[in-house]
Amino acid sequence: MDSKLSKEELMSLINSLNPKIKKSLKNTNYQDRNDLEQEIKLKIIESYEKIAAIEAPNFEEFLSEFLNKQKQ
Amino acid sequence: MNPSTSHFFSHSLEFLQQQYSSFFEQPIIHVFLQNPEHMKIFTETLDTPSSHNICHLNETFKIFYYRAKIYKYMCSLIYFFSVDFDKRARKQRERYRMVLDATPSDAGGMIDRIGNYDGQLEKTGETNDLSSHISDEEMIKALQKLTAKQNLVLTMIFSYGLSNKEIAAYFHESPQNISSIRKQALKKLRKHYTDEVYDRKEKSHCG
Repeated sequence: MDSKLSKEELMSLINSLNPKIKKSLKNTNYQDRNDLEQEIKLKIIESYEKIAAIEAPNFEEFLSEFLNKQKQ
Repeated sequence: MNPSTSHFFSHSLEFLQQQYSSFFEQPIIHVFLQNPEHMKIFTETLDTPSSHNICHLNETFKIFYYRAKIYKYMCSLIYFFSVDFDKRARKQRERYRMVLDATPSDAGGMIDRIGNYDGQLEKTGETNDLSSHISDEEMIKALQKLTAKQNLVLTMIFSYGLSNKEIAAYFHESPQNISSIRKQALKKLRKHYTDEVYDRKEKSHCG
């Protein structure tokens, strides 16, 4: 199954997260912002393995889990 | 296929929305079905719950859910990393204060400055040498009697306020040695006064 993230997709994901990154830069000093931006992107790329290991349920699994919870 | 889920697929959308309203209120399902394409796949599956359709729905949902999870993960990663980063930067700044006229490579700011000081400011006629602070002529004479090193040590102690330890680091000597140089120098100054100045004064008064 091809639901895992490819490297190209990771790059486009970083681009799509750019506004969020820019916003988080306000958490630090003006002088450190460029450093932080670079480090965040690096961190995301480093976490690629972790992201790829994230498991998601499919629709049926999600549904049956939900139904089970309701029964309880 | 799971019996409970097959039961679920056997109903119509309207019935499900009434019966399982809390299911449709789940944020992930809600957002998933907002996409018209996903909605189409979902309704198709409800109309004809064939294994192909269900499989298609499963896969689409899984990809969607996976993306959502990654997105969430990334957002918290970015947020917490930025907060952490700021904390680290603050700590760094507090521990290693910036010394304006020292380059990052040199360790002992103050000590390096002394070397620069003599070279640069002597040209302008303004040095921090001890004798430049003293108006008493006898004292200047006494200072001139000292050796160059004694003079330098006293200058460092009184003009720059350095400790024995810091001066020792500058000369690559032991602090004890600096201490003794300082004592010797002060003794010499004192001797100059007792021998020359007071003796002469006494003579001039008495004689």
